[in-house]
Amino acid sequence: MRGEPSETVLEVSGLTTRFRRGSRTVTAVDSVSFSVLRGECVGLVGESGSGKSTVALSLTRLLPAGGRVEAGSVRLNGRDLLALDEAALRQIRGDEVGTVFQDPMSALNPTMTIGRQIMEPLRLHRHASSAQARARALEVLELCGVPRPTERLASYPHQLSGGLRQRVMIAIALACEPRLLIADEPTTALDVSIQAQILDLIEDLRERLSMAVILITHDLGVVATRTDRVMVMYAGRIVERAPTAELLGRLRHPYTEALIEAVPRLDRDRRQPLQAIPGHPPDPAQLPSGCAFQPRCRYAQAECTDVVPVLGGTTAGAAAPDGHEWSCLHPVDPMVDRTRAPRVAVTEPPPAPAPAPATATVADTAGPDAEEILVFERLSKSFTVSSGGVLPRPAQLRAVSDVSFAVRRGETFGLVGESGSGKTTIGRMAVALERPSDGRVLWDGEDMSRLRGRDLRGRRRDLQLVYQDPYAALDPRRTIGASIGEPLAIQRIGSRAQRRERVRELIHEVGLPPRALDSHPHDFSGGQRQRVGLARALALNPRLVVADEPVSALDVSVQAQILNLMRRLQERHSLTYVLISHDLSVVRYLSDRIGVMYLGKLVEVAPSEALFAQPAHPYTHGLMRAIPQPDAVAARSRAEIFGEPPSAISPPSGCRFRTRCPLAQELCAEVEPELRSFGPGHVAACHFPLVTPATADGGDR
Amino acid sequence: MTGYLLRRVAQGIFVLLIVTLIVFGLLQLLPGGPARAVLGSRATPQLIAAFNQQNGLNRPIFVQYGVWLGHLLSGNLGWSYNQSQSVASLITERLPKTLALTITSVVLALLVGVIIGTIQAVRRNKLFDYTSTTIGFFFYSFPPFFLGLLLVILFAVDIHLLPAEASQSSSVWAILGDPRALVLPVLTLALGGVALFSRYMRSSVIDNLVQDYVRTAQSKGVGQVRLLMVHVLRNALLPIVTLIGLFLPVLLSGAVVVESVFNFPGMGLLFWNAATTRDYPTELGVTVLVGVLTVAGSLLADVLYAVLDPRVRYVRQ
Repeated sequence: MRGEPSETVLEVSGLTTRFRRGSRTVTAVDSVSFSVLRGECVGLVGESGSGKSTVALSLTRLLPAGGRVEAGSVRLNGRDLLALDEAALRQIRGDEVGTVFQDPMSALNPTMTIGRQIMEPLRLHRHASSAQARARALEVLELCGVPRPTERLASYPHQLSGGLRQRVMIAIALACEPRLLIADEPTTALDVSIQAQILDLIEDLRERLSMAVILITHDLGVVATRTDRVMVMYAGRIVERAPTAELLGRLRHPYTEALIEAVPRLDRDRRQPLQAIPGHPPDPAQLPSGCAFQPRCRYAQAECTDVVPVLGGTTAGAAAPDGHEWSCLHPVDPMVDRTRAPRVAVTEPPPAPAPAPATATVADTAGPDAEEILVFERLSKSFTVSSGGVLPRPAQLRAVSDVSFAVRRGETFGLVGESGSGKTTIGRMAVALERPSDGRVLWDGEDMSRLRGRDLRGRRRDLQLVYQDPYAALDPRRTIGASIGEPLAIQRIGSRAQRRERVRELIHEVGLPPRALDSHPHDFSGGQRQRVGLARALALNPRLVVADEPVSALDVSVQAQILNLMRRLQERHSLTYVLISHDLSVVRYLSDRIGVMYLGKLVEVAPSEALFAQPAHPYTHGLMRAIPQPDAVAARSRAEIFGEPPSAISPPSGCRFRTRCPLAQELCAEVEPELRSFGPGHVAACHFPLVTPATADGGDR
Repeated sequence: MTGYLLRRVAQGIFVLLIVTLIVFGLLQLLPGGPARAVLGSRATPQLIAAFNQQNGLNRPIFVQYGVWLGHLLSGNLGWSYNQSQSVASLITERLPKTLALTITSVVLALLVGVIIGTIQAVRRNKLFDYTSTTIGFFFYSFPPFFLGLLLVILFAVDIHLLPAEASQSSSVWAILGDPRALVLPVLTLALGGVALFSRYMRSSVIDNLVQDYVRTAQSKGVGQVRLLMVHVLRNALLPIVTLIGLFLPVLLSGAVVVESVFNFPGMGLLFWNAATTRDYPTELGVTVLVGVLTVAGSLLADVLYAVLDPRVRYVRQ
């Protein structure tokens, strides 16, 4: 820890926040106490509804309508913020406390220039003249790594990429050099390579300015690599807290344990199913009796339903000497050393192939010899976009550019890449929702792009899509039964009664309660809705399911349930999956082979194990390094990919990744690299790969 | 921007062509015709034929339309037989008065509507909100002619506070110089607009108040007044601007009714009289002008939108 260790910047005690919901009040944050030292970064982890963001908003009373801090104190350098009136508190906000919010697009005022938005707190708190404020705005923009800050002052938020917007958001929070920075999910809306850069930035600034930082996130990996201490929240309470390394190494609360086990990891054997937490995070309005986690806890006993455990470690007597506290009657045995859990080193060669699991998966049978059922041949897709609002000049955005690969029967092919890489467009072309501008999509030997009308409709039975956002993908006014049964009705399969029976089966199969048949989507949680999405996709007994970011909108504990379900369904129905995700860990968990996309190009394809053991493309390597792992011994790795992805309208010459590549040389700008072989089934397009290409078939350039 | 404007103007001209074609056709379908209107119901067929011959009214309708269009392009709006005056001079005399009436009304409606709507949004579900909503719906549901008559009875007949008739002077300055006479016509036209604008402004401000950028502003230490005036107002006005464009035709047709109620010597009254006396050239001329004003108004609204919303102005990088 930096600065003077004893200097406490923030001291929160007994913080209790309630919301009025109709005629009832709901306790969102219940007696939360903690402190943050100067120069220290404290992580606040939890799933949706855990109250972590409400804690952040309660500190400076920025709660939405209906919310009220009911009890407790928030002392900033000794002064109780809760005792201040609104006017006095306004003096603190933006001056002594800076806040960074999640979605940098909606969090910035769309009709105000970046410059004015950064200058505003300076004008308010420092009473700076326009020139002084401008000078300081330039300074903080530069500090936050925004290129060409002078030009940016006159820009509007929509003219900036997501990463730059978040840098601007941080610049606003830092303008007055606050003592405390509250970062509420600062990287959740961003791509991993950008996430790493933003977290680096926050860390650098904390050191340079000796700020205290509260980092709120749902991502244990972020916490593990970026914080000094962690607090885990569940149902409005802190259930465990400890210095970061201590927590990850010797966690005590069953929820913390479950949360860590639910995350797919790059260093674990992917054949073992994830330990999903049953159920879903509780609604603060209807908390279970006793310990709030007890209904989902594998260690729960009878008394857990009666007694609300207190933070401090009641069974162990006193708290551990280094400030490790937990609230559980039956804590996890701390002697289990989690750092020795079965793991595969990411950057070293893989150990001998793992023994085949007891239940052979479809993937095992889908060896390299399996038939290629879905073939993409030199596929390109361009969209005409208007380049201007009032004076449009049509431009070609090449979302997918000359991509060839094949998916084998019964396998899971993972497609990873950041936003704008073209992975979703490929997925839509795979199920014939989009026609290629050039090239062919062959499904079972048949060119899908030539099919029209009735033939196409018939073929669609084989090809189904599961969408990202389970909230938007279901018609809110239709019953779940009707949504699942619609594909059957469209294809005129069976009688009404038969269809209803089939829907009942599907509902059972994906693990939904029978009452779902006649209920509406709003009665169900995100995870349950995604089950509905899966059931709907399965209704027609498809052979290929394209899942586009199927779990990215879900909480970690629920994400594991859906991933395991997807695996089970694949085995039972011999499905072929194309899994599209920005999350390499998720892709690795399900996929047999993985394709990495960058700016419309396929840069690397390899069997899952080979890709993670020895990535050949610098982009793949950088992506893997950018994913923070929830691991006690994880090194604080810094971002390897810098800057922002260039525009797909005018992509860089030669290798498209060269503008962000640490290894780029002149050749990369002149010649576009072609896919070369790096071993069985492993190809990558790079002039200066991280491993030596296989010479045997390296001559096919 | 220039290219965009040119395209919009070309679009507008096309719309106007269609409008004049329809109006021209509709007028031909009416029984009677200008000859009978000018010469009286006892005119002999010979006289009528001579009149038609003289004025080119016996030629095929498309030829007549072509001739009329040709004159229009050279700035000649035609000749009013009834008033023995060129339509252009009739319009130049009346237009400023109607513009004075409608612009005053729309500015008033906008100003009051935006203020009331904003206050309603801030004090949502409180007494002021409920009262404004009730009064707003009351005025919005009134037909303008009835509202006009009611205001006349109330303020001119019962308490003699304001004159019931507008100034009859031919100069627009005289009309503007007698603001008391303007009050009732402007009120009649504006009250419905106030209700409309305040309603939209209320929901627009409510939508904006829960946006993340509002929370960001508060986290900077921005106070309530600054929050509303600097951050929310401009964003909340965006949908209202579109509404102004849509409101202009309503206002101009409202002017027809209001001007006849208050005997206000503007375009509305001109149109009304022309319609009742089958003064086709005048009717056509006024229609064209109202069309031009409507197209220009919505164009103005779009330009204003671009000024307010940078996202419409610039290219995404």
